[in-house]
Amino acid sequence: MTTETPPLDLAHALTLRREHLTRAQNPDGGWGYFPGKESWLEPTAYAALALHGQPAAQRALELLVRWQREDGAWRANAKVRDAYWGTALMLTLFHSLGRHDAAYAKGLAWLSNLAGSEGSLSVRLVQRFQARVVDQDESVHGWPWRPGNSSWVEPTSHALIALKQSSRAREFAARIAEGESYLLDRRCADGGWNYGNRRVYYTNMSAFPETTALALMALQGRQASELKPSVERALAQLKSTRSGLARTWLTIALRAHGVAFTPPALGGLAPGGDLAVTALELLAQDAGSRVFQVEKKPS
Amino acid sequence: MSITLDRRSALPLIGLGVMSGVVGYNMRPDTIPTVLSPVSIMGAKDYSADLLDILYRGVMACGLNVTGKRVLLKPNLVEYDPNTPINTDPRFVAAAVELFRKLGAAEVRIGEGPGHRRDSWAVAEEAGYRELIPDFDKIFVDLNRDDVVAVQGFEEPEFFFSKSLLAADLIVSLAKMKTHHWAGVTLSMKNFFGLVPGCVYGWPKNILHYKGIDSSIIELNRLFPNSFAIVDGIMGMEGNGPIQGTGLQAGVVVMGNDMVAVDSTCCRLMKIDPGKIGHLKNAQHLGYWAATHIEQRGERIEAYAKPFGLMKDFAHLRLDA
Repeated sequence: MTTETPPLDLAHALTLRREHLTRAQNPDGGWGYFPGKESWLEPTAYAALALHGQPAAQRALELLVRWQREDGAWRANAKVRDAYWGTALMLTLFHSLGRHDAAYAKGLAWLSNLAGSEGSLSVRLVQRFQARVVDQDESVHGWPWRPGNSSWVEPTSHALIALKQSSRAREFAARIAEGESYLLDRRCADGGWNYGNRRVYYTNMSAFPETTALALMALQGRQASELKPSVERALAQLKSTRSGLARTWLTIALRAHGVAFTPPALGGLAPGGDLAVTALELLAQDAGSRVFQVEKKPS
Repeated sequence: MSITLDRRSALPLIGLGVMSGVVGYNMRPDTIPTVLSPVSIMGAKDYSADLLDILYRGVMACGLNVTGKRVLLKPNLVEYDPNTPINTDPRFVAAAVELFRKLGAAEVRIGEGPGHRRDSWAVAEEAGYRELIPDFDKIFVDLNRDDVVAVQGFEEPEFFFSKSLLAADLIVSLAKMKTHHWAGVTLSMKNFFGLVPGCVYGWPKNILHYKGIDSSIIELNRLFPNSFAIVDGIMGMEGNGPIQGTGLQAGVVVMGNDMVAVDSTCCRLMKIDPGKIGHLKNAQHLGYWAATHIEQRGERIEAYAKPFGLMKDFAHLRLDA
């Protein structure tokens, strides 16, 4: 038995989502993860992308611009002031708007200089022990959720998309190549991606659909043959997942790779009225694959 | 079983608890208490048992009073795999919701922040929570993506937690009895990792690994002393827990307000030495792990003790090894 809602007519489903998103915008211009909650960068950025061209998106952008820190990174929300992975998402938003200004450049510089902390002495010492149980190449670095932590698939994927989209991608080629190596090293035996480990205690980890989708988007430009098992895994996950979030990312990723498939039908709103999922569902039906598109691999 | 509890019927039980030296949920001191910590052990062959009655008797044996309190139930809801029992069983959680409502809680909510998966609602869907727990959609709060409030903790001036979590008067750790390939075991104390918001610290909450798993477990339990433990050991997990282990029918539920004592009792039921578990032996300021300081109520440990399989690297944790 499932509690999922039955599919709706597409036009009706999209109207439902636009209205839900519009109603849920906070007075500060942002969106929380759920209606009535405080604004966070992540759902606000997705909503700004989904409602592009509307006054609501402009108000959101004005809020997000104020959340950039002195060092170029973005903070997560009004209260959490630390530098944050969502900086990559902001760069993607700016890029989609053609806004390659000083704020964008500053954010790009911050992101390009960030790496997971796998390389630090203390972490290397820990990893000498962990090497017995975590089977992966610790010499390649992706990006962390927060500075000072290890690399994980999701922040690495967003960072790679932002750097690859940049007009300075050629300049960042070495960092991009390392990030791609990180993702390829962490790919699970089933072709997809878990949150960052592929094998722990001699046991293969299973891929998650949302991280598989994000990694695939980040690896745009790689040889199709190299990504074939991952695309196949993503297609299988699209059929089986019960996560609205995963379905949207998989739809966007598969479209970005030009894969022929039948996108899942939309039902009612996501449980809890999830605003990040709502925005991504709109994006997945429309501009999502373009927003996260990487034109070509830097050479 | 159908429980109808009012203040009059509950008071004698609560009074009995107080007289026997039971400390109330909000009275646990930061120093070692001078009385024994009560821990109740209840048998439950499987999830078709009368869970409401079992939880009621266990909670009452520990003298818990929740009248008028805002209760947040924190299950262990991590990710879903149909082949192994990763999560606190939804029927177990449903019974706890019903119990605390009947015991007079002003509010009962379920809160969780899964450490690996972004879509908490989808994990709840897959694990059967949305189907089997009445009103789930109305009472669930995603602790990963809630509003947050800063508190002092982890030696940082600002460490963030969910606003809904901080609004609760009592946090009930509805943990799963499992082995854990970093911490040795994951029980009521380790279950508090799910209190840390992913929207601030990521998926996984890697900052806790950097600060040390055992010390983070202790710090989280220090920060949230208004807590009570109910461990679902009806079907536990042995071997490569907490995700990839194997199910083991242990047929037991363990409860108490001293989380260290509850988890130590669980260890003994699993035939694991609690004195070799870092977050238990180093948590003397939070509660007791030594058997001499725990008053077992309900069933005897010996009647339900069952050796949980341990991976080779953890063989030294075996009780009397």
